[in-house]
Amino acid sequence: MSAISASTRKQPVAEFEPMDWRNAASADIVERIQQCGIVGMGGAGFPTYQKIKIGLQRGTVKYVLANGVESDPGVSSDEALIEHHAQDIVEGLQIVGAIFESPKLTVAVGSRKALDSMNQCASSDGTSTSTQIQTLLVEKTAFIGEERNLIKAIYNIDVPLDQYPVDHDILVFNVATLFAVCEAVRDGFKVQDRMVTCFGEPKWVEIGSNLFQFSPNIEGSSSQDLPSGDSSGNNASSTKSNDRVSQIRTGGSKTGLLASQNQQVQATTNALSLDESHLAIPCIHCGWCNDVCDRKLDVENMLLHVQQITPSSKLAAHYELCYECGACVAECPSKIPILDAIREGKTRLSETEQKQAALKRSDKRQERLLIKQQAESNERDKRMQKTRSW
Amino acid sequence: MLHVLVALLPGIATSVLFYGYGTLLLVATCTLTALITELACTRKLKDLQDNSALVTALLIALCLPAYTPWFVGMVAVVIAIAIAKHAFGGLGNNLFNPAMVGYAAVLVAFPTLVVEFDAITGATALEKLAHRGNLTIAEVSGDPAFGIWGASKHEWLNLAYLLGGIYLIVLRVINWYMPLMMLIGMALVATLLDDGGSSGSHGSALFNWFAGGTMLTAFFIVTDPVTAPTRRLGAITYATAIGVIAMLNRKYSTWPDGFAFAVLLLNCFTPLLNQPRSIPSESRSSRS
Repeated sequence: MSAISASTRKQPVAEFEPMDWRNAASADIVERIQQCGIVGMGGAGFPTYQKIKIGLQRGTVKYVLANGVESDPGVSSDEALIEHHAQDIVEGLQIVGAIFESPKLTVAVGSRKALDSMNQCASSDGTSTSTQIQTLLVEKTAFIGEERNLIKAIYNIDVPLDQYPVDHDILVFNVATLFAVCEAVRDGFKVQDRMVTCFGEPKWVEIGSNLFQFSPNIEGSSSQDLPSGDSSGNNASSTKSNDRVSQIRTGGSKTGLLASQNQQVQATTNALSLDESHLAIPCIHCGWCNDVCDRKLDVENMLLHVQQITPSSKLAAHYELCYECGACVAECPSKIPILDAIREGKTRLSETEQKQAALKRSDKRQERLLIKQQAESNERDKRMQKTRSW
Repeated sequence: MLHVLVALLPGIATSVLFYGYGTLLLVATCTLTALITELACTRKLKDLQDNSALVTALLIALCLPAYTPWFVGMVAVVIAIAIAKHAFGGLGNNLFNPAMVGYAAVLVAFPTLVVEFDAITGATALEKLAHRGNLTIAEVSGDPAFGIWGASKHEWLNLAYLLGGIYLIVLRVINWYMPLMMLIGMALVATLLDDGGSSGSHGSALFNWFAGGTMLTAFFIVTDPVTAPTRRLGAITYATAIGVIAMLNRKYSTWPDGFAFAVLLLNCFTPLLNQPRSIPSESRSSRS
């Protein structure tokens, strides 16, 4: 039961003056967003003011979508935020809408509880909020939180993988980002804290605090539970202090990244979960991961190639297209942390690319040097052959 | 793996019904040997909990005829687990189906002991078909080795495995197209070869489906996740080829029932069929 109320949140400190955004210039609002350092809190961390500026440059933003779907399994930070601060999220959305020329504002939610919270705030507001903002409930699958899938579901617009929503006159923001926008513009708060699902419980967490102070008591786990070298290639250390380190992931338990010793909570950290990679057994080649992948990638081969050192270049497109939804990890009967392997594969491929690019540059330099030397020796020969009058 | 064990129970029960304690003895010997071998190879008790050794042992015990001497079962299991599975890298890394390797090894090593023979009906129907000389189907099927629609006793065994297989498909443990394609492959070849029951024919498709180890292979061996291709087209090719070759094996080889060799041959092709495609298909942009 998460009985988080707004009062359990430490009161943020205002660094700027409150702004009356309804009567302020667009440029002032965007500058305030930039000054408060707001980034995409859905996980990508893209600077919000840049996204808005790109939209302003195009000049034709018709839709602004608030993404509150949160399809990461086991994470309920956005839902808890909607439950307690729906009003502020709506205001944040209206603020962004005010920057552009009356775009259509929509909020997408993934649960009935969130829908009720949104509808309640719309009706209690009394103003024309309910006519301006449309709230939609989408069926929560592992894929619907990804912005292109959500845009397709809500607006029936296909955004190809080499384009962005802004190219189709749509801007998508996470609800936590919009909440931060509201507090920054209306109240003058910089982004100081965020809602994080700590091992199942949504809590207000200060950005910059150490991750491990929120971990539950994990005394019961001993180094015997760790395998002597688990399948994703990580080496699980057997000392006590490293046990704790390898046991927390930022993000959902299926999709998260392993946290290092002194890691701090960042604006993009939406959950903390216990690592389960010690439960993994070898891959049995069942192929269920392939069946469940939204983009029909060859997940099994991506995993196996990483385990055997270097991914083949045939799979390069597969690694790039993976947006790390975690459906494959949820489906794997051997409980293999497949996403770790895919991320490793992406890194290795980009390293290989970098090495090849460096080799190419070095080859080009060699060529230029040879040409120059050749030209010089030709010159010299010509000079030597010139007949002299003496 | 547990579901697979449960799905094999009807087959075991039917086998005990028809063949008495012979089956149980074989099952017990094989299981015990399997557990000891697996423990010896992995040195960790925890690794037994995936039940894969148990399944291998049961498959071998059910492939071997019920009154095969106990040491034959033991040899088959040791070869299957120690060599075909662990020497190749353990769970998930074996190229060949361990049960089939063990079974094929004893088929070749002890040909006179692994004969489909029991004291009551004599040789089974497939044996009779293989060694019948010039009799037509009509003439040879008067023999008590032939049952109502398949081989006697084996038709019920195959039915039991079929039920177990359907149970697994309903539970989505195995997929439906692999067993189906294997059976279709067999049926295709059987029908092509079956010219109305002459002395050259090897029985109709239906007969071949319910004789020998067809259903056991189709639902429990062909669908083994480790040794079968994972992508759909590869899996369908694999299963159909096994069906075709197994049927050809029945007619043209010296073994009355040679599905083990068909499976092993196709295992060689699995890595080829598993090659990644270079461009993934278009992403589906809406999922709900």
